[in-house]
Amino acid sequence: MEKYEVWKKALDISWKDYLREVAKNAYAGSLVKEVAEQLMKSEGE
Amino acid sequence: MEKYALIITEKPEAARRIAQALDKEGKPEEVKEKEVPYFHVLRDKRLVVVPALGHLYTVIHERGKRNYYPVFSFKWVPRYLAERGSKNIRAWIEVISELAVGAEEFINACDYDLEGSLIGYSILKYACKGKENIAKRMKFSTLMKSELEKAYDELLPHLDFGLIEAGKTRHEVDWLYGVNLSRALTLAAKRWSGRYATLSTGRVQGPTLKFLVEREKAIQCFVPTPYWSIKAEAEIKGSIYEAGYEREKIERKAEADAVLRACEGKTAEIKKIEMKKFRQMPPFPFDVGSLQAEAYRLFGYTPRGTLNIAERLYLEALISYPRTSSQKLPPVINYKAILTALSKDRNYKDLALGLLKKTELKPLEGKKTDPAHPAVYPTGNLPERALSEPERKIFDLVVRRFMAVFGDPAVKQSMRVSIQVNGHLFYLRGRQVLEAGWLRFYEPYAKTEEVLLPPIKEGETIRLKRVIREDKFTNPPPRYNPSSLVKKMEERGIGTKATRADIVETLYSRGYIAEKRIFVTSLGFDVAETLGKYCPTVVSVELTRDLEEKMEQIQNNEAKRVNVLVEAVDRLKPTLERFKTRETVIGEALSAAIKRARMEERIIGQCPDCGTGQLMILYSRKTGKRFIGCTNYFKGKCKTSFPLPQRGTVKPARRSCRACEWPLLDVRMKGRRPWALCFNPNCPLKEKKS
Repeated sequence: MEKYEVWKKALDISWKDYLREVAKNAYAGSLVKEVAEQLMKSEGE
Repeated sequence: MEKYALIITEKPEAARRIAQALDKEGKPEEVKEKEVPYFHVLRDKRLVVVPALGHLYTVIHERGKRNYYPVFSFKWVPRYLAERGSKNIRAWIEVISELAVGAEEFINACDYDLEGSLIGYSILKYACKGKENIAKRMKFSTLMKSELEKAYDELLPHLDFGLIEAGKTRHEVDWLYGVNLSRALTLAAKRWSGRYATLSTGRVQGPTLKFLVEREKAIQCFVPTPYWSIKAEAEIKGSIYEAGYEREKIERKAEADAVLRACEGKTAEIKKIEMKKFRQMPPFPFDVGSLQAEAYRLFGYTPRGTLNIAERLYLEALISYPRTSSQKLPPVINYKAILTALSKDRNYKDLALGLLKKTELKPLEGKKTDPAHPAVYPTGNLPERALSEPERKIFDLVVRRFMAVFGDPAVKQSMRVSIQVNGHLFYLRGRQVLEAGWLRFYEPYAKTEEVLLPPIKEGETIRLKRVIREDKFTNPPPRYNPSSLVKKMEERGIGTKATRADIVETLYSRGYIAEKRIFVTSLGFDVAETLGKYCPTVVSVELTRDLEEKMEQIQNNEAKRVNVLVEAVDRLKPTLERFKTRETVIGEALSAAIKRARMEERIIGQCPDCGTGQLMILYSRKTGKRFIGCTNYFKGKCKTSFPLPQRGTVKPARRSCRACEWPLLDVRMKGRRPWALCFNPNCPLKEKKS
């Protein structure tokens, strides 16, 4: 959540878009990508 | 028969050099008995120089059985009784024992460090039947004739018992930790699963693996954040120069875009030109750590690899003893003589002669010292044979570093040009070497990137050809590599200059870490987490560092070996007792980890047919043959399979075929060169061949 605030300030980005960006980012850790994908899946449902 | 003095060296090549140096004619008589070489030397009296093969003795459990822990009673035995593949050691010990009978004087001429002192001591005590108290010590830092003769003429009156006690304690403490923890892990897993798999760890390995796991977790949990930087391409006198925006990081895209809009297509003015001259001092002489770090930076050689090469160069009397923590070069090594000798090589002639013209040769030295050896330096000897490429590179690096430390400081100039555009500032940076100084000696290895700026004046206007916004993200903490890991171990005070590189290699060989940019395998993770959870003291850096400090105190006769051993056992006992009470749950966790690791070793990649299963190496119960199958087969969803060679070993290569991008396999067969196999039957490369 803390990092989402930084992204929001930087890009004025929605939560959903933030998850999408993080999930595909090359520098994001594998666990972070997994969590982002899970959240996208569960929120998509 | 006339009695003689028996001189014991660490390795055969050192024995040859010492024998040649001490013999009056420089032609000692070489004898071989049971394939063990030794040398008859004539000097002031008869000498016999016999080598060891490194350690001939080691520590084992007193009782010999391997299926229980804790074990605290140990003894020193010949290595052939403890290690498979050491049968040849028996002959060495026998020959040395026979030679000891005819000797009236005994001299330890092994390398002057913990290991060398212990090697010589063990041989004198056991193989020579109790001669350690009357033996003398030769102390030298190079295998140059002059230094060896001096070391022989100025023998230390007795062995270096401080180093010996410290060396013994280190081996014994390492054994206590290593054997007990490794047995605990292995037996826990075996008792749970019924299957045997060696799991091992050690006193220094545990904390080292812990740093790696901490780094791995930080990387895996890293969330990057975006930021922007702006650069401008300024056209000045027909050339393009890159200028950076006054703020290196802009945290909002809207702000970055606003700067872009304000500056694009505008004329800029040179507001200010600032020049600063500064001196860059020469580097310090190499200690082992900085040599390993530099060799990794420049050539990609691992710390262990660099040490192996440096040892070979030392044994050929080309460089001084490499396992040193000193950054100092005392005048007694005779700088002028070394430079004069180096000037005979056309690669170093001009540089060496240039230095010899100086009125005073004074090296820039660092703070670190070593009680036994100076920093690494070239002896002045030139290679007698063609060196291999890695040997040549390390030799050249040592020579150039040696020369550089005597060089004058380099004088550099940095320039910062402030360019104003519509209220925003950009900086153009230049740098130039005004006087090369020491850089000249270290030329291929020194980082000297000059950025020369054209002649410009304050008030001049220039055109900004382009203003570019760069989208960036913060980076995760970098992965360790073998060199930065050794450096980290040194910073945290664990391991020794001699052992750190070996410990890193051990972590690789046990499958706990992989790749040059190190990642921790799932097995490494599980072992570290298990140890951290159930016996945290064992992965504690503080505990390991504390023991290291105590062992150093033994070296300086400030602590007693027996007290340190008792303390080590006192710390280990409760840890092992606690481990035993939780053996079942630990065994379960470790068995799962081993199973996972074995599975991962066989997984090749995603199935190209069903897209959801994983292709892995499987074995048919019916035929006993191995093949590649899809994990979805077991769910009845995919029948994809591919044949595999039945001989040799087949492992996932962790890279893809350049033609079809299917994952590759590494195949190794006896009598053939290893090759990469693409198992795609329709691979364009295969079709091309047929």
